[in-house]
Amino acid sequence: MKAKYFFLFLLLPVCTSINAQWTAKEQRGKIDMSSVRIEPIDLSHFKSTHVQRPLKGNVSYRSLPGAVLTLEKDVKLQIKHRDDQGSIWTEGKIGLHSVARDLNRPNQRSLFILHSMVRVGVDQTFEFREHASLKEKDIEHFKYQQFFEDIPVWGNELTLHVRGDDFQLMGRIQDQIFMTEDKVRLDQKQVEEQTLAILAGKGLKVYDLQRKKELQLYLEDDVKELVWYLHDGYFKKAWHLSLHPNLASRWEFFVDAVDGTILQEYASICKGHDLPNHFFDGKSVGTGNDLNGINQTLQTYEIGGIHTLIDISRSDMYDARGAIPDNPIGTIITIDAINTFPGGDDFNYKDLISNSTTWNNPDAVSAHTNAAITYEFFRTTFNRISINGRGGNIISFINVADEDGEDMDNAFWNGKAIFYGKGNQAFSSPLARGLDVAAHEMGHGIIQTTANLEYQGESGALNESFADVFGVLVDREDWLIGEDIVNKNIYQDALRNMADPHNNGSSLNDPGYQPAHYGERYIGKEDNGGVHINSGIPNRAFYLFANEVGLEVAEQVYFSVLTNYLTRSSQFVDLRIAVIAAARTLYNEQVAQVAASAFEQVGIVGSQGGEYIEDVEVNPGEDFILVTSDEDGLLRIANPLGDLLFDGPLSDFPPLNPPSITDDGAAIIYVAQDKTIRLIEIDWENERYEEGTIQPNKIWWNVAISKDGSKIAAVLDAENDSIYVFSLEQNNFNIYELYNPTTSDADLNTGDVLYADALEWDHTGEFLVYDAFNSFKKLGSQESIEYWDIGFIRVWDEAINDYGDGFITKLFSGLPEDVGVGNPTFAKNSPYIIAFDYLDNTESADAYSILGVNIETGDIGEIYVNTVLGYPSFSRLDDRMIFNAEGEDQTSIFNVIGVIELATDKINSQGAANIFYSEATWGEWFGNGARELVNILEGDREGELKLYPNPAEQVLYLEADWLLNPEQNQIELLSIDGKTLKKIEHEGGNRTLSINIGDLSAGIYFLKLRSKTVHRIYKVIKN
Amino acid sequence: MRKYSPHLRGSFFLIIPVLFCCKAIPFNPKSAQQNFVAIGNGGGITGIETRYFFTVSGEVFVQNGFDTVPQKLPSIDRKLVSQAINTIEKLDLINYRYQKPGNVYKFLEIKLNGQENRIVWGSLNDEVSPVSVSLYEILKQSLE
Repeated sequence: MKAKYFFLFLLLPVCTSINAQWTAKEQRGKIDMSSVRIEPIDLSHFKSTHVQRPLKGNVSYRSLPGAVLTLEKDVKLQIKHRDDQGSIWTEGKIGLHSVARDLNRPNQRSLFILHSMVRVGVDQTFEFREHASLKEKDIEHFKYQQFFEDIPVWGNELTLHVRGDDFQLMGRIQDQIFMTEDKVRLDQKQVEEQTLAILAGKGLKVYDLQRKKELQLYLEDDVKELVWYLHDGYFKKAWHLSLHPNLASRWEFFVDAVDGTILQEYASICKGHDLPNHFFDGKSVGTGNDLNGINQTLQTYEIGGIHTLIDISRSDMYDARGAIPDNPIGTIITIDAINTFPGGDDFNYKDLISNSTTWNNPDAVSAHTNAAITYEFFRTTFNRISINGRGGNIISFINVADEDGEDMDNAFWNGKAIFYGKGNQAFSSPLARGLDVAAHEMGHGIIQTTANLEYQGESGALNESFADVFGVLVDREDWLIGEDIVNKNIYQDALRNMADPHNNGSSLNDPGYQPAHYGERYIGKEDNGGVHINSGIPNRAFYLFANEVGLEVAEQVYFSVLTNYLTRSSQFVDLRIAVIAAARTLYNEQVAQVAASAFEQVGIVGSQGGEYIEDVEVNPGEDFILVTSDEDGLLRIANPLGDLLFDGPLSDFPPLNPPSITDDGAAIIYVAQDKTIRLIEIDWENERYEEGTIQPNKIWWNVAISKDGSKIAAVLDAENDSIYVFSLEQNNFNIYELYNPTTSDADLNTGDVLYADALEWDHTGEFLVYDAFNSFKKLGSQESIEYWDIGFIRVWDEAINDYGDGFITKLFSGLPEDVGVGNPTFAKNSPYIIAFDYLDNTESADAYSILGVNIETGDIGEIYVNTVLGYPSFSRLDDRMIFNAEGEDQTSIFNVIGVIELATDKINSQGAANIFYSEATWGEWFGNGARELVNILEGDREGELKLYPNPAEQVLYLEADWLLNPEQNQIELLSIDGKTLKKIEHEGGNRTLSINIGDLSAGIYFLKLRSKTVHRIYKVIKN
Repeated sequence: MRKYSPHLRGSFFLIIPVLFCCKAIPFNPKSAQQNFVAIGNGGGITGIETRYFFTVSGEVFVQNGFDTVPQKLPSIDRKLVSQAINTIEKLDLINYRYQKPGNVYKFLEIKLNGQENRIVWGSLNDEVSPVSVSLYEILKQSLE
């Protein structure tokens, strides 16, 4: 059965040949999926207990034959709300025999919408055209624009929400149109010239949108379209133009397309203060009184005698390659939000300008000055250049209104800029007055670009606390936040007091009150788990520490903690540990002891655990490697010594792409050359295997099986941006359309995903990590950029044991141009470690590397510099990595699987690489033992769940609210090897449960809890 | 001519204490037994949350800040609230988990047949369910 097959541990030569691959998209086929019926996964020939048997029945997504419209009798539709302004809200149920059941087909949806509208009295001459869609879990959302005679009816849109047989239609529509019959006599260009002339008459010049894009605000692009526009009770054909004269404003025009009458025009601008055509551009200096009455010197920019609040004087960040005012780079900008709300449709803004060097706008002077002071503080104290550390713009908006259009009683950071309200009740001055407010908000930006503390619970309270810390570090006069701006009738002294978080109050009912000790902390869901409340606890710890060692020492320790120690999910105890460690590293033991004492005084001690992703136990089985042999392209299994298992190959067909294997090695899945999905089931006890096709559609490109064998994910051999996820328990599937969720820091727009390629399931079976090929155009250019990147998509939700919502996050929010990443793989025992291929073709030749990343800390290491794509795989113990490489002898270059020893951080290597196997590719290392794959946490947040005593001798007590309902949870006691020893039954009605463990022998056990909201395994020690 | 009814008379005398009783008990979202929908927003440097509670009877309460007693606002058409709850049930929003607040955020809070859920979204993450945003906007508009 065993045969020596491969060469072992030969020195891997440095290969000079460059194998250009992966630089461009693959040649994928074309599949018209509307004509494909996806067959169910067929496991009837397999016996494994690791792969769940399917339920009987077909998959739920299939096309119905024919297209007979029978909506009238098969769709129940009820009008829930209708008014004479066009607002409509209907809901209904789709009947069993209706073609409307097939609403995943656009044509059927259109028919359905049209017919539904006719039923509610809308004239059938109208059209409703779909222009957006979104799928989340089992709900699909579609947006429709109402059209008449191929022209959109301005302001009339519908949204359709479908979940199973239920649907809802909401929006605003016109039943009928009373219109003028005249023909369009003016074309778009004529109208555009007319409106530009109007703007020119107002002294305005229309610039391009570069600067608006750079600001990344909520506004949309220029619009130039013919619409039906309601005017004086009649719909007229009108040209709608949305134009942007520089940054000063946006102008909306509705121009009668027949006679050129301006039906509507609006914008919010300050007449006479708009930027003229350039005849002198350059740095200027102004002066003006701020909100404190202090005359400040302002760094400004002059355009033809008009000065604007754009500061280009900061040489460490200003980049002259930008253009003022359209596309500034590395500047401090202050902008007027003209009393509009940034989250609203009518958000508008304009440049703040003065026709002399004297400024008479105290709000603007304060905001501009405070931004500059805060910038200089970070630069001189921490050598940090701007918010992102790389010289990005610092943008402040003043005169920001709230959602109701009132003066905003707040200030905030929205991820891109600072927004100041003018104050209303809680504040007696505009918030731009407070230097500590500016530092607090800019601090949020710096936190976002460093530890990026999650804005919930304790990590969110740390986020708020660090922002306050920056507030008192920049405004160093006292320990108060907002003391210059609060309404003293509401807040006695300040918004917050870091030295005394109670702030003259005694409970949360008192404005400005915060807990000062961990024992007083707020436990509730408001304020995202008390992020502005519980920040009082670390705030006081900072005060106690800084008051003792001095601000100059404390600020260096805290900045190091933020940038080097904390991560997204850090908790209070992690701050304590980090501050002590940083104090010891940067200074000495005495400073570290002061830090420890400060945290002890506020009750932050070492017993509360952070909810990091933790290591899972090691697979207890033997080591094996699944490889694809160069000899015949078929799959084989070998041990690390090169001994082959089984006689001959396991697969009957060569795999099209790397195969995937369950964590226990019991099931291998791959796409065969005929593009079907095949399964190899291995019976390790009897040393036998079975192979066969489980999905017969000849459409697939790549496939991955979840580590527990309960789910399969696959992508098509087509330029298709979907991932198909099959649940073997439910015997159905779900389709996830990929998207790019964020905009990178570079000048790249959010692109389109063309298709995904490599797939791997995470340890929980909830997320897939995948690589995808993307293409989009650069801003302001027709040049297309194509690249590979890596994302995570939530395709399963363990809490409800059903498909996930398709939420996507990217491993890297931005990639340099001409750089791609792909073929991601998780470490076997550390779910927070990922290795991947990295391709850099910024130079003339492509450069390949295998990199490792720790997603908790953000650390990246280089594991191996390669000449080909590596398809890396961690060893069972995560102490080695195998990967595709090239070997060479005197006559040829050949494929090898290389091996390299990993450092303890698992993202760097140590020593030289060797040849593990030659003439083979796509090595996948695995163990053939069973283990628990979910995280093991040793504690939980107090208040949610208690397990005590631990260790225990006779009885273990479990306390949790969800124990009150016995139907919603399962509790099992497991042996150390994962076998169920006891299923704990209970009747509910009591939040405390006693578990008898007196009959167990002394040792380590696991208590497995599963409810709608909790899925945890706790280590229990029996004495 | 109406016939005098002793039963009706008894009912009349009962009305006064019932009304008095209703007025004396303020709405408390933590102990409320009935279904309700709430919308709100918060964050920024103040962290102040504003929450609007809509009960099935169309009553509206506003709460500013933490642990303050909600104040009654003019009621709205109860059909709008029941329709909102109907939508929540139909689209299973009670089991929709979305907690991605930004420095400022909005939320939709639901109490439905003993189950509770809070859907939170920030100013830059627009992946939240569009229905949540629609419900927020519809209910917010009903206050105007």
